Amino acid sequence: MFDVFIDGLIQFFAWETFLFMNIGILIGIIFGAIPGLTGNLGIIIFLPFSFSMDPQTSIIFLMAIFIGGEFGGSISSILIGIPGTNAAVATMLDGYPLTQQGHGKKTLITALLASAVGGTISGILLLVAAPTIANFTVNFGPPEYFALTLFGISVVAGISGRNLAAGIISGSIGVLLSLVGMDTVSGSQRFTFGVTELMSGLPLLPLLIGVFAVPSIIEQLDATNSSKKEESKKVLINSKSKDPLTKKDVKKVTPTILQGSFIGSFIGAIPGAGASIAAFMSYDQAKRSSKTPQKFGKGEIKGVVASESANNAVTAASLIPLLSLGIPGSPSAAVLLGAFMVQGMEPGPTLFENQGVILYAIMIGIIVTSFFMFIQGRILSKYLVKVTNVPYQVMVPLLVLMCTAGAFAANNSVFGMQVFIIVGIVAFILKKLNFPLVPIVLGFVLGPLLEFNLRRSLVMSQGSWDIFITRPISLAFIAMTTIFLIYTLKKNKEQEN
Amino acid sequence: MEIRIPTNLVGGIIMMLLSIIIWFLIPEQIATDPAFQGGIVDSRFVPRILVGIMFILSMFLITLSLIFKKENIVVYDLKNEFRAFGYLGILVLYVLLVNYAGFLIACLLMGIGTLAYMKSKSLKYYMIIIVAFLIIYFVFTNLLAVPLPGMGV
Repeated sequence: MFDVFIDGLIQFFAWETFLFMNIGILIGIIFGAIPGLTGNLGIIIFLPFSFSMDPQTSIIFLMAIFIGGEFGGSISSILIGIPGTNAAVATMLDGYPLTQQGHGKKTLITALLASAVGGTISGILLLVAAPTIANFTVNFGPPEYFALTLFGISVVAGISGRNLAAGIISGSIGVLLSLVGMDTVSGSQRFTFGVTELMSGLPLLPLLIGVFAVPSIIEQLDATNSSKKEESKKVLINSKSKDPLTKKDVKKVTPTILQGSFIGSFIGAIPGAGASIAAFMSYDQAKRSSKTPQKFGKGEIKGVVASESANNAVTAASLIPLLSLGIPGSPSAAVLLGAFMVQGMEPGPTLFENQGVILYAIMIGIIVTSFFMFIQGRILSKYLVKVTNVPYQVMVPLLVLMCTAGAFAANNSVFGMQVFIIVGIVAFILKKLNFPLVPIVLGFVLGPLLEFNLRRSLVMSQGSWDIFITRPISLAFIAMTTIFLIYTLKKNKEQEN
Repeated sequence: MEIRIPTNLVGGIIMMLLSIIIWFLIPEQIATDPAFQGGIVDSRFVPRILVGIMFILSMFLITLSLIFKKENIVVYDLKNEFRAFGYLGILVLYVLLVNYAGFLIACLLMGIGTLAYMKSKSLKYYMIIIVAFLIIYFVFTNLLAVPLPGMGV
């Protein structure tokens, strides 16, 4: 394994990787900083640009957008009191009061440091955990895979919204969409309605772009017509000119940063949990362990670093289930799964055996990205607040153009654009009816794996469902799925009460 | 004017109807291979399970709403919603137009149409959009080698 790691390290040092890593960080920071846009949307929009890159550069470029996006969200949170991303809401609680007290610049740099440390620790954990888990799962058979996939979809369906039933319906719709086209087992056509293009199934990338981007674009349309326009005019309060980050300041926040980094890494590795949950859990933990909890919410720097270290630690950790098991742990990981597939790499245990060198190069790149993000953030921080003033009226048509060109580029066909718009409209309506969208994507991505392994298992057992409970690992996953669903139902009931 | 949507009831009814439609579409849309016909693992097996799950859960949502009076009501501003659907209509027209006018002309019309739809009076924004679109078109077609469709695809 060590040889592969060294080979990966050598392969990582390519000039184009460093170049696109830095471009990706900048794009991510800009997307994160603009309220309403997210790093995930940035990945989707710039996905087509990665097609022509080599696998290592393309994945690092997209990961850099993801990582930069998580930090970018803190810029508008801290400086103008509008969270750039959901995960940056906890950052705003103390970040904006600090800016109002004249410490905006120092708070931003401290948040940057916390984000970089969180990303680095999470990257190291990815490097250690993903190959170890993949090594454990390499001998999984169809029943184990089916049970594991079922567990992944159930967790995401449960966490994505308050209504478990709506989450499972969304997941089922996703799996059904993945079945369109030729059945790989029997060769039968399914739900093609005589449309030739559907014979090879619905294309992944236009579907991803449609599900995530259309509702987001329509929200921007609302933003042009709402109070957000006024909010974005909030005046940035000038920071004190001589207010440097001292060693004493760093020493004060280091334990909180480390705590937040580990909380974020742990939460990130759980499929579906996400950066927002991690940031609030870390914030809550920092407040509980503080000797002065009353300062939180009024401008406590520990609150900022707790949130920022955790939300950035989610980035690399969310790749642990993707790279080791082939199960994306977050919407961004689902999009990255598409990017891996475009590059001819299918995430899962066998990927470490077949393309270990590239994988190690990618994981090393993810760690190094946090370092370059720190440098870029330090240099650009004073200019970055200006990007929050980008007019929504210009942004909407630009996003539409990038999305449709990307949807076309996926298959070099107008069919991709048609899928994008139809799926987008359906996603918009489902969102209005409170159906979560992430399970649709997860269901679509994992559907073929779920069906293939279910059918193979039943062939192996000659139609007996006992095969899923007589094999210990499969039984463990089925038990975990059941426990999780019961727990979610109970928790939802408590919240209702 | 506002509209109140009981999402459990409306979502449940829509999903129930959808699952019924898909259930009856299955025999027409999925031909089973003779080698697999009648076996538990034929091509219709998983779609039927999924549609069954959708139907049961949509009935559950309806029951929650009507019998247990547990509802999740969301309030939407009707004007904003019409505006949103109007814009989705523009996007549909844009995608259809690509087939006839080509990508560049269709997207320029979409860009200008979007600004007009948002009642933008800034000439600067129109200029920015036109220039940005031309640059992006150039990047896709020349640097990324994506053959975006010309006129009359």
